[in-house]
Amino acid sequence: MTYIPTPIISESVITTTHSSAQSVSTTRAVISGSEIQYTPDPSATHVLYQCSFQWTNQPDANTHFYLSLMEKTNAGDPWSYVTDKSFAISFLDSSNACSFENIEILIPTWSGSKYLSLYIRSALSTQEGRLHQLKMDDASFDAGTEGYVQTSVSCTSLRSYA
Amino acid sequence: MTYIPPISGQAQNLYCAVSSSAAKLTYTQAEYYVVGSNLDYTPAPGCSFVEYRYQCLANYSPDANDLLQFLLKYDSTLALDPIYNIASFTEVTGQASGWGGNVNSQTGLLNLRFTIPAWSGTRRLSLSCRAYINGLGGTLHWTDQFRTDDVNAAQATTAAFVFSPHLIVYSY
Repeated sequence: MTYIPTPIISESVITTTHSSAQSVSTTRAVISGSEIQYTPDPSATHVLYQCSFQWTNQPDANTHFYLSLMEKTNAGDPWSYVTDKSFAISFLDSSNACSFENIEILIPTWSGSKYLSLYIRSALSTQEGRLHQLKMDDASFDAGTEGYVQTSVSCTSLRSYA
Repeated sequence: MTYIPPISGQAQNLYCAVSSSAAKLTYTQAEYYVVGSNLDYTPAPGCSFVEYRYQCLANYSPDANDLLQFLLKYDSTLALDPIYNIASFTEVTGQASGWGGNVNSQTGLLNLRFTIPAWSGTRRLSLSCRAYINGLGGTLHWTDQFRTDDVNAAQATTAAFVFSPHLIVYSY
């Protein structure tokens, strides 16, 4: 095995604060705060994309989200799906769920700059939810007045020994 | 409780890979290896711990109830094939994880992260997975009804959709 002392090479991080919730419906949308423009280190073999965000089930009791890592080269380009990097988050027992997600997705490196983001949609119109807002605070529960949680997104260049 | 003293320094001997061979795979009571989780790894000299991080997509199908258990295992002989011999691998003590729920049809990315004491030489690492009983099965690397348009997903019938898992291992 080759000894490589510095395999984690560079990282870019963006945090976004929110003052309103983002509704999740059956219409695909970029998660606010999930977009990042990144140029990997030339010696990298992979890039680790990470995005953390809050979601709650409101307005529907059941939650079934589909998420996809998206990419584009230029700011004005349409988003394209990254192959085999779509996934789901579901809780379907009328459980009124909420969670803070810390998504990390490893992808092969590329040359030059690229934009990455997360698409989100609900599977059904009865499984919608909202992002970035807490389900409770000191004064309320599901009142829609609860506080907001910032979104963080980062890209890290990694160099694998093999 | 085991106290692990803080260790500073760069990660070393980092390995990372995205598996392109994952396919929809349903786990039952029979233990089976997890695609993309196996690696022959040698910790970097002088390091105390190895960090093993594996991510995959888990889905409730075929049962609304599901209870899956993951075990991190190793083979020091490097002779065993995890696809056929995972039951003969040795469990890494305390490095296991459970996932499941009761009639909640849950789906999500699993981020398994195990910190294990470093060893000398090379070990073949692999994860295994099984359901508690056959009626509590689940599926890895796939989720149902996914669509890349904006229509109601209840109309979707295709299941030709997978999520490629990844593995990151390093020493520190």
